[in-house]
Amino acid sequence: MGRISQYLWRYWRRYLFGGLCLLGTATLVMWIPWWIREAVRIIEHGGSLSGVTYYAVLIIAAAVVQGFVRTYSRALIFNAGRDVEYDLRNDLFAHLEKLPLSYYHKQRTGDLMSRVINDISAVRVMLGPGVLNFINAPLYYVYAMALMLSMDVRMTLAAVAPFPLLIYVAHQFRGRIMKSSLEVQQQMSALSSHVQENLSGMHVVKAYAQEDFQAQQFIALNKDYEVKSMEMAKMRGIVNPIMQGINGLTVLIVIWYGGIRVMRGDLLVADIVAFIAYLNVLAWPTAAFGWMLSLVERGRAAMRRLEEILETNPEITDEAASLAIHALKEGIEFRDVSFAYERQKNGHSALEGINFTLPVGRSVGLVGRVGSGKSTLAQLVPRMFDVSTGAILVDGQDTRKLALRELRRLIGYVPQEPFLFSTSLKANLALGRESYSAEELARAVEIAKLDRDVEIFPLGLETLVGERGVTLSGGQKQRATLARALIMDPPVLILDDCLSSVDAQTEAEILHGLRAILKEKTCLIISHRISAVREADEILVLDEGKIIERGNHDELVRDGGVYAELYQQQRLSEELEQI
Amino acid sequence: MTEETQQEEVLGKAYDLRLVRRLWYFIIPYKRLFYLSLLLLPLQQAFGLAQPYLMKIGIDHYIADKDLWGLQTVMLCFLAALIGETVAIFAQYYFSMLVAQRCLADLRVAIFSHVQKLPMS
Repeated sequence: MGRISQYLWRYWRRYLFGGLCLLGTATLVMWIPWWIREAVRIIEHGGSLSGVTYYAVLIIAAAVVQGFVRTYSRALIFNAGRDVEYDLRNDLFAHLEKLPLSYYHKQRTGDLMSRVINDISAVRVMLGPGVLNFINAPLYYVYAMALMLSMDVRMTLAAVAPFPLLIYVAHQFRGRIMKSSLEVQQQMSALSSHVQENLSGMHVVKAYAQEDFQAQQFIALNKDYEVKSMEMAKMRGIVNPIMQGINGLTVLIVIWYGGIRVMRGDLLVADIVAFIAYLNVLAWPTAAFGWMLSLVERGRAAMRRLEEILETNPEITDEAASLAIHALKEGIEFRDVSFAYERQKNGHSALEGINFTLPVGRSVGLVGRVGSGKSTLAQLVPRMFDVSTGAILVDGQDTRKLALRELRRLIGYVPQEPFLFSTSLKANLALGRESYSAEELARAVEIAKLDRDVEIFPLGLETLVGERGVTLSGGQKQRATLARALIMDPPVLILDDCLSSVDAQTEAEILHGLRAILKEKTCLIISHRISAVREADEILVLDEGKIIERGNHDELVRDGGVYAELYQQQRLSEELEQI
Repeated sequence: MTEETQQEEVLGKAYDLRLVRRLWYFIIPYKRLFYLSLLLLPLQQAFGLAQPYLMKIGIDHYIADKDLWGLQTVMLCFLAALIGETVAIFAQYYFSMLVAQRCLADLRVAIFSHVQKLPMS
């Protein structure tokens, strides 16, 4: 719970003032039974009406004032809880943004969503109503006990005799409620993940007529959630009435034992009335004890799940003395690079012994079969993953020693699987730049051959795309992400088979437009089509993570290896298409 | 009040009614449990309200008259009311939660199945 106290500490003033208000409320509340006792005493002894009226006025005044102070205490403490929730959500989001891609390969999005939404709310409830009751309950008990003891010690001891039972019940159920809460929250995550995956992959579900099967899986998960929720409801259902019942028992003891004492003549009815009034004051904190317990346990369980995320090391971070880099002067070098994903076992690697140099202003093409390691190689440059052995050098410096943000600003990475945010097309294109001219935007759109599409869109570049807007085709999305990289105008461009969904004709047009830009930049071009890489200064052929051929287009065709075979195949299919 | 706002209110009411009817559709399979949890509410209240009344009888009639037997009888009734209230609160909470959880589970399945049937557009 160390982390949670850090958040609480930030708002200590509000918690302190809130606590003082609670103390004020408790003081006023505790005087009321005392004045009731005095009023009943006057009545018992046949006293004056003015005396009773005096206490009645005092009681009303105390009730009104405590009402205001009570409201203010809640405003202070509940709002502090809201502020902690706000901070925690921001910190969690910022941390999630820093975590490496490998983390997201292991985690389910629905589970993360559930933690960010449901668990943070549970923490907020713990820090608002939970903290309030945590301060209030002991305050009320100490106050009421002191006043009752000052009236009659034996009566007080008899009245609080059932309290150890209360502590025993609370102790017994604490761990069980915590365990049950954790199970309910985990099951909620599983349910969210299932829904999230189904919604994301709806086209696959429909295409394979898997609706019924998916619904059956959902029903099973849903049933589990219901069973686990009922387990928790059962425990909460037991704890709350038991707490309330114990309070009733204390009232019973007071009347029974107090009645006998009044009959003997060593106690007044006014004392019994005051004791009952004090026990009634304690009724809510006692009944709420079980509720508070479940709030705190739920909050702690939720915080533990959030800490799992917050304690995950970002792995790929800046070193303490990271070097600044603002421009590329020499180039990029892969030196004996090997890389294996965490999921790969038995010594298998995605890349092995990769050596090549990409001098500034030159281009390297990468070709190879599906799964040969092309995309992995490209993702190592902007440190989406870190190399397992060897090093990638930028201007002679190991990328791990360079400032991460600056390194990534040097690189325009266009992935094979395009992603657009649910906002306007223009905002999506300008993702990498804070300011740009209309000409730059128009030029990028034109080179990416997106201009014809923009003309058709209802609001042009302002058209909303993504979940709540226009659905773009795979090719349109790829061209939009290419335009995004062009607007960013970085010195290094990595095109990761980013025109795979674009037809051959449009691809040729785009490549033609790109030619001039590529000459100005340092490029790594990955493609399954020879046409995209044939003009590169050096072409590398990858197979099972190793470079098996290298040279320029003419050399590779002349050598008659895998590249030449691929080239012949593609030329043949192009000729067949023309016929 | 303008005609428009009046219309809106009427629409709002109709919508609320439709919503209640729709929710009721999910409660129907568990209506016995639902009625049982409703019936337990007045029972729970009766047990709760009996306690201060028994307190009054105890103080006014038996403590004032120094009748120990009478006080003990009334206090036994008080204990019975207390146990009755505790059991009623638990049962009422348990059954209403059971109905709520089952309705929500059915509602989730209904929404999930419905979303799956919606076209990709």
